[in-house]
Amino acid sequence: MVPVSYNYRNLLVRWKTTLMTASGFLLVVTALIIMLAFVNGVQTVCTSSGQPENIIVLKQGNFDEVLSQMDRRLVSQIEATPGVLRNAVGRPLASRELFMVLTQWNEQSGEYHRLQARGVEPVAMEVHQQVNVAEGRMFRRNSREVIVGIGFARSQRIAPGDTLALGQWEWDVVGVFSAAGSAFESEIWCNLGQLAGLFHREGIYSSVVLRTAGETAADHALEYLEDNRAVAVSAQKETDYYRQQAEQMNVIRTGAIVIAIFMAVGAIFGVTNTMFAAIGERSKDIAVMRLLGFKRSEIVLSFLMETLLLALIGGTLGALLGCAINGLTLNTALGAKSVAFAFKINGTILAIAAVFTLIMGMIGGLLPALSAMRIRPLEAMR
Amino acid sequence: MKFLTLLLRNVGRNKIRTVLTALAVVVLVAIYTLASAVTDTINHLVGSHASQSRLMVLEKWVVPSQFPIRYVPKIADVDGVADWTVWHFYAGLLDDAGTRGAGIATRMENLREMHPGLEELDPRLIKAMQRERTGALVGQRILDQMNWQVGQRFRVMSFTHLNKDLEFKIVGTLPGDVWAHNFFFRDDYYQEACDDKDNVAIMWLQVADEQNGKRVAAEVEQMFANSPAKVRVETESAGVARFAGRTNTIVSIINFVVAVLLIDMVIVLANSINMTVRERRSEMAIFKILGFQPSFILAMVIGEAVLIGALGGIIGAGTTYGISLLNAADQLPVRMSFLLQFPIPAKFLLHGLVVGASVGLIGSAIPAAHAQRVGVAEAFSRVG
Repeated sequence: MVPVSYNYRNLLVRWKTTLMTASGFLLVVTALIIMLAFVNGVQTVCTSSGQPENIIVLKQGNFDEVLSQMDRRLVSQIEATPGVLRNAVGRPLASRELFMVLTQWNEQSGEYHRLQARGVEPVAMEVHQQVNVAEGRMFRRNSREVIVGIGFARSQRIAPGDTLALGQWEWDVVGVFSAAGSAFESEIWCNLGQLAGLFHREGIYSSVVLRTAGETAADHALEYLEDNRAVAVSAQKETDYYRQQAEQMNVIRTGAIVIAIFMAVGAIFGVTNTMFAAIGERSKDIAVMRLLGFKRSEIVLSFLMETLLLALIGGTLGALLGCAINGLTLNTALGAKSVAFAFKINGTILAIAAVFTLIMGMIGGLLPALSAMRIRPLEAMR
Repeated sequence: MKFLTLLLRNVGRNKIRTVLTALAVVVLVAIYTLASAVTDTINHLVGSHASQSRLMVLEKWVVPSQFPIRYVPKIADVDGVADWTVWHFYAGLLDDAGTRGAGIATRMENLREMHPGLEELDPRLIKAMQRERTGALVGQRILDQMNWQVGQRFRVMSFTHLNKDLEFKIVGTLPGDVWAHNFFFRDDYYQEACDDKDNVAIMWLQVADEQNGKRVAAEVEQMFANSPAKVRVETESAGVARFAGRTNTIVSIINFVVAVLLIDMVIVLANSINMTVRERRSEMAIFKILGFQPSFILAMVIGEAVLIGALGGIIGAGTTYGISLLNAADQLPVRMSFLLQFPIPAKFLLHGLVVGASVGLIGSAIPAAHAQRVGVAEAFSRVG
């Protein structure tokens, strides 16, 4: 076999060309990683928002809490669904919720902003078990107190002790809650009765979330709700509900892969160019190697190795650069909601990047390597 | 003329390299065109016609907005309001596959005047709508997507209005692309069919100018400041800016990708031209000996790169443009809904050409500068 040092020394000698060709790989890998980390970050928010044993019930025909409206009678019927767990004092673990998107004038920016408020009853904390007050305390009933999600608190720079305007009233922020990175972290939670009263939504609920013993129990409860014509609702497992919210992300992921493939094809043309030039310049080297007794297959292998080495340099640098974005927090629209998410890189994304790099290297190196094989030693030596 | 012949000869000398470089530019410009079409469409939809002299009246706090219809005549009477209309939203599924359609119920008599982008609408269609109670004016994209023809009826399974599945008759097509994803229908049909006679979602006001608008806005807000249902008034452009904020993250990621694509193109071209220059050092030295100016050599190298770039650019943009057209006409084996949503405008052909040529120019600048400075003696000392 031709020693690998022959290849890497050649790469070093033509360092400018090496660098330029490698940066083609670098750009593809960086862009791919950043786009996929975006998709993965948003999807993480959605998957962590739902729990498989929870069922979210909306008014029939709705896909989203924002437009769903149910009255007291319907809500009581939903709460009577068999299979719903009860807490220590015998209350069903059914969380009546009023989700509202509110507009609020922001003095600093001089614009209207959107806030997402969720009115809940104390039982909500037992139903949404991923929600925990991390700082401060829970709001009291019958008071204008709110707790805010950690994502909201971070982006608005709000802490317990501050006040927050909702509608025409000032509310006291008494706590900050975390919710395992879910969409709830971008929300403001307060007492259901207070919220409904102040915004003239008494007796109206947007959703009821039911907690069951497990996935099988959830399936049974779902069947009951579907078969029961008297209860006109759309019920889904919470996990399915939030997965659906993330559906638009699949389109973006496909888009990201398509863009990356196009970029990869561009990079392949680039590296093929470089390798053809390299082989053109080194036809005498190849002739000497052939005369020394190296086989044609060994020459092909050697040049393929060189391309792969090039790809590896570019890919590794690209991955390092792409990883710099890991953890960056931004807001994005998700359905009718706005959620905070963090760019998230995982093993799958790195594996996809690695596969991209290798395939680019292989395809880009193949044609030039085959042409190197066909060089006739005696003619080349002349 | 000689220069051009020489340029073309040079381009044809290393055919593999020229083809590979041009192909790289072709694919990169193709995807650049696609990505730019997405941001272009988004910006166009949210920003193009927003005006300071058109006001929107909304419920003060809650989204989606809804306020009592009895406010409407009072607001219309405010001094300075030149024209007005109301909106009701009605959305639902258009087929079993889950294609969604968003309808707007509004007044027909001033549809063209109150909706930017509908100025081109044929007045005869308005007349036709006034005759046909269940009539609908449907956006071109919906018609394309659903394969509907003007004259046929369609049914919407509503998810905004429970058990109120309405049937419409397609009276005409909405011009332009601002409303391509919507359909308009009569507000009196909406009120009766949906049994919603007490509320409106949004009221639009046309005022003479911006200054007038501020006064009208303040007056309208003041009018209902002590009612349980308060309203707020925004200029259309402020509303649009807030809406655009929702797409910020995605648009900036696409912009980032577009920037990366441009850098990628420059690098591929620069690399290729660099290699070409290195191989032709001695002949450039000969040019110098023959008395050609260094600027001639510079122009030759840059010219070659610009030619390859521009050619690749126009082919890349042309291909995507062609595919977009064929896709819209349903002439492809698979129909890509993505391209229906973000069609490639014809201006991108020129765009592709300019981008390709500029990339050639930038990519060849450094190699060309090197070529220009080729030392005659040095180049020949290597030949031996």
